[in-house]
Amino acid sequence: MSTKKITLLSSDREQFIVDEAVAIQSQTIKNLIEDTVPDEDGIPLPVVHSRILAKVTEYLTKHANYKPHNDAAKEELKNWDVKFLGKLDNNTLFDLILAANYLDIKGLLDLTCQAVADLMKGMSVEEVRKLFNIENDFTPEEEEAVRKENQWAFD
Amino acid sequence: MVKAKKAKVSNTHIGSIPNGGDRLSDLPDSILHYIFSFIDARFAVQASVLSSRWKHLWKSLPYLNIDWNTKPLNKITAKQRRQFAADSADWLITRRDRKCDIQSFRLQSVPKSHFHHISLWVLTAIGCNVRVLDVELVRRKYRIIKLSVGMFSSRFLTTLKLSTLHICPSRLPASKGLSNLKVLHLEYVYVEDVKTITEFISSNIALEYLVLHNVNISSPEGHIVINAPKLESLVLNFVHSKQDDFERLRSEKYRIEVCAPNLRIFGCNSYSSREYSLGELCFLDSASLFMTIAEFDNYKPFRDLDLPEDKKREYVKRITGLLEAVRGVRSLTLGPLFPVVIFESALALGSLSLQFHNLKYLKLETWLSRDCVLVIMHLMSVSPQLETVSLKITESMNARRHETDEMLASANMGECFELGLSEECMFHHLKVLEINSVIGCVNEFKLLQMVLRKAIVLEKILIQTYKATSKSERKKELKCFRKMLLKIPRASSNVVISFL
Repeated sequence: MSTKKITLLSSDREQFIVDEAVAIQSQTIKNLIEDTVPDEDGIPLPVVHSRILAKVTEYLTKHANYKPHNDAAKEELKNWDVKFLGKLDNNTLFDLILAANYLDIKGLLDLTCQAVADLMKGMSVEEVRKLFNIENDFTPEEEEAVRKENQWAFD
Repeated sequence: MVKAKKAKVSNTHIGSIPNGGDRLSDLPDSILHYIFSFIDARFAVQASVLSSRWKHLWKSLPYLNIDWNTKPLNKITAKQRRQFAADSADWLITRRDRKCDIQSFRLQSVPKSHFHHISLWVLTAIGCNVRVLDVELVRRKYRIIKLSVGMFSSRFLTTLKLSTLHICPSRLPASKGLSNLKVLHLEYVYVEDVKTITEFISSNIALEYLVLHNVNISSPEGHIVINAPKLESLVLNFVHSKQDDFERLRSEKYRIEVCAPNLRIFGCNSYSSREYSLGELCFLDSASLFMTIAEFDNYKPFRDLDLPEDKKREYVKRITGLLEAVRGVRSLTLGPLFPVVIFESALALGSLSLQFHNLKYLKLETWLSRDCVLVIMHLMSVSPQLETVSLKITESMNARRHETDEMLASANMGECFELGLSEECMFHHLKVLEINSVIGCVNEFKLLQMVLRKAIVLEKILIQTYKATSKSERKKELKCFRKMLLKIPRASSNVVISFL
């Protein structure tokens, strides 16, 4: 395994030094490494703030050491993911979704989107609105019309 | 991968947004769709009343999952629930925006009452260029569902998973094939003869992953050819459940020929009555072999196995053939029954001059009789690169173990068997040994003793003690086992023994 180091630069110019194997789990970073001449300070990721890039590199570092053959390691990794998610507030969760999408990290996007899906699952419309601060911009008549249109889904 | 609309992410830095607000609704459509891909599609329709942002979102939803087991919000009867799911499938298929492609279409546990809808649903999805199609019927008896020809000639389909279906031979156009199909998973699928399945597989030339799980073929004999030049992963699971007709199974004789030079992963769970020929597998990385004899239940006869000689010979021939074919792998999993027959048969292990030169990871589902321990030791000694050994002792084996195993606490060590390994044989690369369900018996001790003495760079031994051990007597035995284990001289200076 390559131990070449890669420096990532967040939008607020903070440096994150990681192994190349860690960094290239992000397809976007992989493409950047291949196609661009790096900045002196590192590879600039001008849309990701250090607060989020720290979380992303934490995730990537853990997953780069993944050994698919070992059952105990698999279990441990799963538990780690659960703990990782557990520490996030909703706001960070959404930032991570955007970052995973932008950096093209499938594992992290799956993990975070699944987490939101799990939150929504089995909730009523009112509960979802409340949990995610969704403002209901329908008039009562409009809402009734939408409900009626998709009547079967609410029976 | 979901592609975000650029404007959404670049107008502000990710992570620098002040807290609060409706972050969910701010996500681009593609990500919201992706979130819905993890839940039943009906939630997307229900979400239409959240706000105007959500009103039409479901109409372009590219991931349609409908599971007949999903409980809707309100309490309804099982019959209503089934109707509800069918109505939703009809609704989603007919009211969505047909200009939006369908990425994946999954129907789970479709009950008998709605089988007649399936063709229509599938055809509509094919019309929307569906990539991933997954249809699973409620498993009872095989139902004849006429799948449309259109389904077998889509150039967009990359994954096809069918479960509990009867494929009519006339419905498979052998010449056309699915030019982009990479993943094919057939489970409890019924076909008339071996020709149907052979032709179906070879017509899909792009195939990379193939799973045949209990594919039921009505003719009891034949030659199945799996000819797939790009195939990387192949799992053949031909062991039927107890309800199946054992008389028929016994008389079944298939020869399965695999022509897949690029295979990396091979899994096989089969009866020894089936013959395999795998050809040259230069790139094979991992293999998993489970073989049973049709007449016997998987685990029962492990100590008092009383097999007729010809059955034993057949078994040994088949398993040796498979081991020979996969000898280049780095990772190997072997199922139970394997050691006892191999060892008890006249074919002594020594004469089996098989070497696993690349093997790094070995997992055995086994129990620890004397013969088994000898076989494990033998496998370790013919695998010079071995780094990890994992021994899984399954629950059903454990039940019988307690009656027969000699506990270490009460054993007379002087009379114990010796492991027939030469003094010079050392394990040069072994780093990790995992054993579960340890009860503290002599055989376990012998195995661990040998590993500790011979593994020069051993780092870790993970011992999981048998969970159901509650009696204080057993605890005492384990305590003694632990104590004796710590006294064994070690070849490696760096070993951690952990009891979990």
